[in-house]
Amino acid sequence: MMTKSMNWFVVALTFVAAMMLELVALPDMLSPFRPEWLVLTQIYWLLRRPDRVGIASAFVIGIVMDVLTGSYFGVHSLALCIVSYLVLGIHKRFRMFPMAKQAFVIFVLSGIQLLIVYAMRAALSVADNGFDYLWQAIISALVWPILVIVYDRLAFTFR
Amino acid sequence: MFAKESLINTIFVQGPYLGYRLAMALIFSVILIVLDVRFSQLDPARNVISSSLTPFQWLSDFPQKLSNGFTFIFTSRDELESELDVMRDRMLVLERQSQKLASVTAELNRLRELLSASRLLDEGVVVTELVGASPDPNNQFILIDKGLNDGVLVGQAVLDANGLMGQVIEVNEFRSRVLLISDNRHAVPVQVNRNGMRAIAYGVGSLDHLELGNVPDTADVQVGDLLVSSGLGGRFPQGYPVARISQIEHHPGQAFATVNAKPEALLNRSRLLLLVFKEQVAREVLSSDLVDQESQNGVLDASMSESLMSSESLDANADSQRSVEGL
Repeated sequence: MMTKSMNWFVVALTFVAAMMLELVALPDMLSPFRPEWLVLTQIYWLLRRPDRVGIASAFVIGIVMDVLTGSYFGVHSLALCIVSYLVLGIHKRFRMFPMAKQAFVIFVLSGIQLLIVYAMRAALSVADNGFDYLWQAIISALVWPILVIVYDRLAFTFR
Repeated sequence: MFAKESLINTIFVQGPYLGYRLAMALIFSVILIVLDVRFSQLDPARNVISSSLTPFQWLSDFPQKLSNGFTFIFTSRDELESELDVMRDRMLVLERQSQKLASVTAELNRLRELLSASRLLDEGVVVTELVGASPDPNNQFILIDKGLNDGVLVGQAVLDANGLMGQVIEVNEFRSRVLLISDNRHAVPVQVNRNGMRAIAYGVGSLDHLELGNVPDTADVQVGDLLVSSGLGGRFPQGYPVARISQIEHHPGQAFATVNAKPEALLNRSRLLLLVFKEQVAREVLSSDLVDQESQNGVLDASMSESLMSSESLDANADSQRSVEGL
């Protein structure tokens, strides 16, 4: 039954939760290490339902990220569309990877996303961010297995 | 990791023309970026989206509110009483200062009239609360709980109890985004309080220091000097503390010294902030909220009546009030 219709409630729920986690205030020491929750959520749904979630939804999520972070419209959506395209290219193989390898690929993907965003920000305004994005990418990779377990659970509960 | 039943259906199913769709999305993104960087037509759209995201921002602030609430519940009566005593004492001290301030300001303005200089204007302030901070440490802004509905305008200065915090850069219906003075895109014109030397304090992306640009090696600055906003450029009101000089490095053979300053405002700790209104327009919007001190007004009106005030901004009844809401 659920093969035909995806429960959009779960998708919305996970995206809202990711948005909260993206916004919630962290102590100054921890804030450079915030995982890219929205990007991870987008990648998860791309892998789970590549027929429904695609580049258009990546674009919308990107616009939301632009508003939340106060950057120029289009910066995050551009990066997220590119990452989504890459994910759609490898999703058949990605499912077969063991979790450690998945986490490594996530590190590369979120690294690409952050690199594009930081490069655009540096080009459009003054910025010197150094290598912060590497930390964020590493933490995102470490968070990925937990996120998959939780989201799988949610998707199973609300199928 | 994925449920089996959806596997078969989704593994071979893929939307058509993936490459084209990516190209479309990229072109559209680039158009958006160019529009947003060059023009301001997208501002209403941003306003709508960020207004509709306000509930989520409110919810994400909830843990902090909750923990504050808990600390309040578990504060003992004795602690609260002693805190109240401290505050009463402090209020007495401050009130004494402001008693003198009224007459000193009036006298200063009379003297300035003798010099045919324009009158010093005092600004109105409105108390506002911090409701969100930037998720990205390289992009230093905060969100405050006043927006278009409260008459907030882009460019208004925001203070905390100790000094200048930043300026409003974006307004939606209920919230405003405030760029902190420490952001590396921000600069504020300042002067040294001791001798009036002017400089510009640049943010460098670190919350605990600003950098003064192009200070001559021989300039009269000392560690510990207070920098106040100079009001040049018309963006920030004059005379609010901005930072205190913390370090001066002289480089022999170079024209300029490296001068660092520590912001006076607690950029990452203050939750109650003051929004400065200096325009008459804004004051009219807010006049119902404000508690005016009429006594000072009277003194200034009398001294004003014969003088040659031409500029509109020097309207007597508009700007000589000291207004405080909620304090």
